[in-house]
Amino acid sequence: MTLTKRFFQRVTVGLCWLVALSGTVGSVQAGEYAALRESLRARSMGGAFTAVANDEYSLFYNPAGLRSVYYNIFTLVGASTTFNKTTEDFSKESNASSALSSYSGKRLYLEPIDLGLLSFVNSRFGWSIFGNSVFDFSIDSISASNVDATFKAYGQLGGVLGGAWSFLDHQLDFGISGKIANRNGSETTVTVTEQAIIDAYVSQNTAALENSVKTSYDKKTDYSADVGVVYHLESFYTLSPKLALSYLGGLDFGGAGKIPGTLNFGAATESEFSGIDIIMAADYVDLLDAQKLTGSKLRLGFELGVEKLNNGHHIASFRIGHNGYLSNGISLNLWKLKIDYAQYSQTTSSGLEDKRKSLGFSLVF
Amino acid sequence: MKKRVMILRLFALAVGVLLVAGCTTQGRRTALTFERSFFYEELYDSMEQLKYYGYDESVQQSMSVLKTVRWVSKYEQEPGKRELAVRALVFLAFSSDDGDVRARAESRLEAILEDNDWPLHLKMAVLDGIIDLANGSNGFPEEYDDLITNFGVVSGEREDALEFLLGQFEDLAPELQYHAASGLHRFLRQSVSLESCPVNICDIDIRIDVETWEKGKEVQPIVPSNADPNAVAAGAYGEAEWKPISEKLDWQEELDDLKFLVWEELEDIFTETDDVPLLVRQRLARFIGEIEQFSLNEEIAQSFQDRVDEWIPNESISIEVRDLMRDGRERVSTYGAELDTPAKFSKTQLRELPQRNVGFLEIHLAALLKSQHNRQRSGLRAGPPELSALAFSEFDDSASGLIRHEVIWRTLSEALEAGLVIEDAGVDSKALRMLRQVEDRTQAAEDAELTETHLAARMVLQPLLELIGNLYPSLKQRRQDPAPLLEGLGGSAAQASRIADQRRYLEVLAAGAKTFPEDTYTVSESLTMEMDLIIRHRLTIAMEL
Repeated sequence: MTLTKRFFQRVTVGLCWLVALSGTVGSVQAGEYAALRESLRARSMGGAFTAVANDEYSLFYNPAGLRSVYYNIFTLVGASTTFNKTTEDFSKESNASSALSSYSGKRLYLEPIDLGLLSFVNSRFGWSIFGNSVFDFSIDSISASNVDATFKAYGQLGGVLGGAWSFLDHQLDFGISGKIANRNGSETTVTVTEQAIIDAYVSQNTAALENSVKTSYDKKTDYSADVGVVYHLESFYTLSPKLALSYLGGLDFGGAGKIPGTLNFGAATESEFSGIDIIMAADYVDLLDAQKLTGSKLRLGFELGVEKLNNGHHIASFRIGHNGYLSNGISLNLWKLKIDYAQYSQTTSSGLEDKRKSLGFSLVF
Repeated sequence: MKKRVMILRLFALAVGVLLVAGCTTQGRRTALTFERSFFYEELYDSMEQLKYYGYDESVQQSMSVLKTVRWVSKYEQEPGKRELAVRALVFLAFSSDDGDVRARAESRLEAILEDNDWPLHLKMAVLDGIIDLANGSNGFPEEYDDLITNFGVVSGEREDALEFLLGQFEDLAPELQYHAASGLHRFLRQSVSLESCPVNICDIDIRIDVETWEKGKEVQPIVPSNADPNAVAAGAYGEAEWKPISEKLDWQEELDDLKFLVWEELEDIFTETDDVPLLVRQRLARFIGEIEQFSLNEEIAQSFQDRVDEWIPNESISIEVRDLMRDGRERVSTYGAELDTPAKFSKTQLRELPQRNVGFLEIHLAALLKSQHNRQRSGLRAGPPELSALAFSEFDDSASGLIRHEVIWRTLSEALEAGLVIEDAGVDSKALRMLRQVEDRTQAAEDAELTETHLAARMVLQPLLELIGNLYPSLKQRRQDPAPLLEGLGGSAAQASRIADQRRYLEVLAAGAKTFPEDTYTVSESLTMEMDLIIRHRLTIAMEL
């Protein structure tokens, strides 16, 4: 039993590495909102960020948001990791092999690292260099030593460069950006039978086991442009509402996945009460229904922040949001070290809630 | 469910912590003050405080300041509050240390000047704010030893502001061009003073030592070590000298450079015959006769003169404008910059003065008025010409007529300010009659496009009102009842549809408070309730003085 457990652990880890090293991953599960890169801040606000965008992630949500970046924000390095509840539970299992059977029909979702490097934004232009990866492991069925599972994973490297301008006495902001990404991805199906394992273990014959793993790889570079507008309803002093529309150009990585071109609408208010900055936001995403989302398209977010520092972030921020499920998060900006935490949910293609947590650290100047 | 409740509780706790720790930005504080208060002093202090936060504070504070001034300038109902915000906007547009704040403030200034929806008084406030910034009075406050001192911004920022104004000049409406010309005149006449000195030259130590600024520092003569003490005491090596402090010399140099910047740009305006009305160009051309009053050092004064020498033969500049330039210089060469050489004309020539051409008036009128004033000071009657006839005969809105009024009204106004008294009877009624004639020309039917006549009349209304504001001592001298004039002005103010016009009338009315406090109070009291808070404040100040 111990041997089987170890073997299964090795197989699991080995497959993961295989996927990762090969450039990993197929498309993200259909029906789930697909984006090139997501902000932990936005995730904890339920994803309502189209009109809010005013930090180094503006380029990934709405390039017009650059005009709301009032600081010169230089991110030396930022790294975050995300995992779902299933992955978290699995990692706590003392006996993974025996526990695995109970994960039949479940999905392990992991973004091992989302890395941002040498990114810079200010109110006129910005760029971002990034690399991230996703593991999406669905155990369709598992019984005894028979495993039927699907791995989808990808790793990507890319960059975004954008600029923004204001019109109508700074009431209308317009932004445009170009993005390029190279994605290595694969989709791997694993159909392991007990016999194949015995052959591999007892007679060192791994042919059957290797045949039980079928992987399709793809590696592709694609580029596209994003455009966005933000209109500030200046006559309302206290709430300072704004309306935003952004079109995030689609990227097609062939077998490594696809991000459909997405038109998002957002509204947000930015107000101050007793020294606290308050943001309320609402988005209606994917107006063109390109992503065929299974979950709610309406996203709501709320953020409280106190005392912005010169790196453009509050010393402390608290957020809650709703995208069909409640989300929340916190950020602490300790001089130049920013720590973000988000707890949120996504709706999977089967319409179920997938609870996730993200933790990020960045050096922002 | 329990978890959600916990999250919401934690969130509520976080809100509580933030509320305790939070520190309201100055922008928000000022916005709240502007929302509830209608006291000029409180609003002014709050806006001045706001300027300080926009000048040199964190980006968060600066953006909050910007948001407030932009909002108040456009959406506040009370016109006076809007004007206070516009003044702060001017300051931020050129002096904030944040590029975004400057760009957004400047964008609003451009919108105010270009967009017809903005009222004239706010457009004028932009121009006045720029001139005040260049003069140092639109600065920022800082407190030292419980004393709040206004610091003027550095010369580079003043230069940016003046360049903005000069860059916009040709695109301004004629009435605003005329107002801007008056502002530039005010700037060129600015002397080197402690109040106008920039913050980087005159720190608080310089500012509190007014005596040293005025007198300078005593410099002892160089005495050899073996000098005879008796000879030293007898002054054989010279007397100790008082020399201006280096900060004063530095400011003189920078101010001269700023003035020269304006001077050089005038050439472009003189040649813009299509976009700048003749009256405005002539108003600017008259500055040339005042170079000696611009408090320049010799070298830069010569540079001013050199420019004039290039303009006078320049055929791109219209002949009427060049004639005025030449006449202005001739006045100085004939009578001196201080009009020290007396004007000598026969009585007949003086009686014929009202019929003389503009050039003659530009050369001789100031000197003649000074001669009249000198006679009055000697206890004699002023003698001819009859000033009320000269100033308040029929209004002539032809091109030559307008500049003629301009020359007469402004020259007479300066003489009255210097102490000349008009001895003619009925000067007030004649002035009022002229005022009504000009007003009639300013009024166009509703929605009708303004003609050049309307615009010209609106321009010359300004020097006429300034002249009327200087008539009070003459009325008092003749023991005339000021009520008809004051009531006439009050009536015009009440009927004026534009706030800018109301201000013009009420400023002239308020000028009467010094000479006729009770009568002015009676008239102004009935008006103040209908006026905006800045007018009310100005009237109140005038009454208190």
